[in-house]
Amino acid sequence: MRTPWYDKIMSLDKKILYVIMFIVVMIPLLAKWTYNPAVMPEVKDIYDEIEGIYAYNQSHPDTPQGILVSFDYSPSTNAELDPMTMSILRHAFMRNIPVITWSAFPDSIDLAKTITTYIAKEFRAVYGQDFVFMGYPYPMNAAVIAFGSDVRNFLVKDFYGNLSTDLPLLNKIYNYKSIGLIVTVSGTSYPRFWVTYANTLYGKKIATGTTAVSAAEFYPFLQTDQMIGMMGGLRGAAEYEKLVEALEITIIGDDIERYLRNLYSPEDDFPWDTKIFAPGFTDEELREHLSTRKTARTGMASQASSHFYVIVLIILANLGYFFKRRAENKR
Amino acid sequence: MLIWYTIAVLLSLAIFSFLWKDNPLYKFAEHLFVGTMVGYQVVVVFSQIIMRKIVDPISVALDNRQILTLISLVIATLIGLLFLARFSRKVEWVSRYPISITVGFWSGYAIVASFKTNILTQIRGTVVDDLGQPLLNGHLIGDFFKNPSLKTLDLATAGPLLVFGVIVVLVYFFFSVKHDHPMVKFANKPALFYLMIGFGASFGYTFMGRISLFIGRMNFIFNEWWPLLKQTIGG
Amino acid sequence: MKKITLILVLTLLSVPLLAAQETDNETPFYACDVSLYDTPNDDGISVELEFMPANSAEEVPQYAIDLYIDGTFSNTIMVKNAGALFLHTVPVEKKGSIVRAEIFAYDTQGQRQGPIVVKEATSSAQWYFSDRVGAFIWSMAFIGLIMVLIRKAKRGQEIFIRRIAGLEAIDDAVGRATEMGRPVYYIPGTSIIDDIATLASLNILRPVAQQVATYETPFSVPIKDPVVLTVAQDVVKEAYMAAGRADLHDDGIVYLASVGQFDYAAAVNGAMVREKPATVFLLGMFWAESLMLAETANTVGAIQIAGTDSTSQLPFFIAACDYTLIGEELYAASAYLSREPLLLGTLKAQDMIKGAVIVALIISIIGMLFGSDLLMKIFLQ
Repeated sequence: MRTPWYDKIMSLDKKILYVIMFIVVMIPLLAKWTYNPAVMPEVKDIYDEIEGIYAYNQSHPDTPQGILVSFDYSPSTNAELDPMTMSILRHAFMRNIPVITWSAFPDSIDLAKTITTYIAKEFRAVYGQDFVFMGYPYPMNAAVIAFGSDVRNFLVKDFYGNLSTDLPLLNKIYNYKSIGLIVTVSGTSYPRFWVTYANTLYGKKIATGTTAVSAAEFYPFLQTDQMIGMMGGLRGAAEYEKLVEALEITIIGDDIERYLRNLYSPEDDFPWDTKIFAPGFTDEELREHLSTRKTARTGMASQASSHFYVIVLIILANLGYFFKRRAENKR
Repeated sequence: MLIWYTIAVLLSLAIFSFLWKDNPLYKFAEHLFVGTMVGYQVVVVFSQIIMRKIVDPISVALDNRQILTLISLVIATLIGLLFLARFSRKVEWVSRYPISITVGFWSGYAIVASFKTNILTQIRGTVVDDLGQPLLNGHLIGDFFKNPSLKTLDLATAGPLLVFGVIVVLVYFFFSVKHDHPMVKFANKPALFYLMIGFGASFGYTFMGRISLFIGRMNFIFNEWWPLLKQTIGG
Repeated sequence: MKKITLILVLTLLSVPLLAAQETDNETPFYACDVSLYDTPNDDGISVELEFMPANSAEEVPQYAIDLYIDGTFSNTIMVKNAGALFLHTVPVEKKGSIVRAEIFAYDTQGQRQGPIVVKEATSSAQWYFSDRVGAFIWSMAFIGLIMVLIRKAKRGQEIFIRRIAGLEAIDDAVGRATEMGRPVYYIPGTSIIDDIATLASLNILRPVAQQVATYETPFSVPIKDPVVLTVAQDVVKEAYMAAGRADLHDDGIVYLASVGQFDYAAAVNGAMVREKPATVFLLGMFWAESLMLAETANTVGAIQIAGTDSTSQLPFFIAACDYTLIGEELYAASAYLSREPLLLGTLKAQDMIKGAVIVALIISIIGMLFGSDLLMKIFLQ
């Protein structure tokens, strides 16, 4: 007897499904399609908040507000989350907002350091003055409390071994009073932790970048304003990327490549520490700096096509199941 | 650079080969990962915890002659070291002191904060929206009848649906009332409906997340490793 | 003591008022509204400044605020006249610092005029954060309830808990395995022993093991964590003894499958494919391995009873399993089956607080319908 079509569908080998998925994901990547997302309000809110800090700093040059970017993820989720931290940092550095970063997990210390300096370099940010990297503030919960009074007592040295009291930025911004926004980028439940302590106890504004897996968990906090905004998954990252790109065009102009190429001249004596980052970009680095400006949007094209593929699979499987059941009932 | 990228690509592919079936390549990649992770953690614990959290603060306090800070740091370190007593059966009980101190401190610190965060503020969010407007808003419902459109329908129904959902789901998780209690019976179906919609949304998001991770790896292979390989071979 | 505090507070509050009275009479042309007051609910290390220009931007394009702390000059803040409220928090070193703000106006020629207003305030520390009263009362009520109810349960008083729907399925599922002569698998999650879900799962393991022993069904409990292993071994051994079938117990029932997340999943999946269990319990905390396990159990044709409090894994269990204990139902099932006073008391207290929350919610909503947020402020501060 011939096997009916629905049985064939229902017993399709998983390996075939994987191979088709591989192809579906690969094509947009190879064809370099990008996806142009509509910006959701919860993402726009984060952007507006950082613009608000910029405006505040313009009117309060002596007592500027900084942002704290907490890398609360390990490299296993960096595909979704790296584009978010990069976009947030680009926005902050472009607006000259003091930035403090740290990483909540030991395995992401290197990742956090690399991304922070990578973006700082694009905007000639000076270590200690425009940004600091505090390493791994273990234990995290104590670090969150320490920021309530004076974080320099808890983190006596930064990642590179400088005394915190020697860093001009930390002497201006050492507790929550001068932190305008906390951005927690995480694939874990850390955002909930930040809301519980930094928001409930200290009234700080929290913005979250989260993996799609955890996004549904945090919507209730958006509704009550316990989080001012959220970037959910690769899509949220793509939206923020788009906003930052638009800002970059208004501030720097269309030709980012030329801007980066001329950023550092050989006779430049800028007060950076070459331990933090070396001046100048090679061609290879230049290409990479340009391509990280649209990682999320490139990924979203593949994402969209894979979603389409899965929707088709779900419909087919349900149809198969339906007809199989009907045939069985007839018998 | 190319060598490192190539190793990364080969390891990624070795891990993906598990989709076909469990094989030695996958095993090798996995063990390599676990081994490097352990080594890395040891280094981090030493440089970022022992150095940064014990040695540095103590030496800074010594330099600045902050006697009180110094004393409290030393005492805290000693109490922390009592944890090590766990390795001996005889003096294991000593390790309970640091445990009770941390648990006691954190319970006190966390109870009110998490109660306020997860319950009070959330319930408040069920009564009013973030602008202080009530969720059960007669005006919005009136607006819908005056000007029926999808947007006004959404505005008018969002609040009441939320309030209803919160209440029925809370009742669903009531365990001290009998099954056939009218309240539980009434809430059962709609509560499950709400829960399933919630899980469905979470399911979709989770799927998106899993695919993103895969795309991230593919992006690395095709947009970072491949151009680099081409450049190196070609140039 | 109370009186002294009250007088102190009143005096401190009146400082800005007095200062305002002194200066209000003499502002003919240059004007502004300034209030300087101690930051409420803080430890006395700041003072709030609110500044609202009263002249138009044409008359006064810019203001300057000179700040003095304890009589010494601190800094000047330049404020562009945007016709909008300007807020600033003045940080001070210690509580009890006197902050003085002198406001100057710049006329169209850029000449500094004034001081047009002078204000003073003293920073003070508050003993209690008044915003937390509600949370404090609720927490105390909750803790009190838990203690009372646990004591009640310990004294042996009846605490009613309804049967969870999924629990009924346990009997049928074990019975089915017996009929088919195939094993029962019990996976107590992949978390550590500290996890509440693991503890709840081990509580459910006991009656399941007892039933399996009574029916003489083959049983298998693969474990991921070594500590959970020792506890689970004890639980199963005791259950077999309680069922009077100590002879059937063997040490291979509870075993350590693997300690890594995905190798554990691979090992258990392999065992399931070989032994084809008729019933699989997946109760406890799970991560990304949840669907791998549930999928394999499904393909070998097992009935699956799942339960977890992980919201991101629940959808997978609901899609792939026959019965799923959702979130708190897992704890309730464990309390129901173990009759442990601690669990029963806590569960009952949780129910009562849930009831109180619903009542507070409804009262606040009714209050809001009548246009008053007073009730909400009382209950949900």
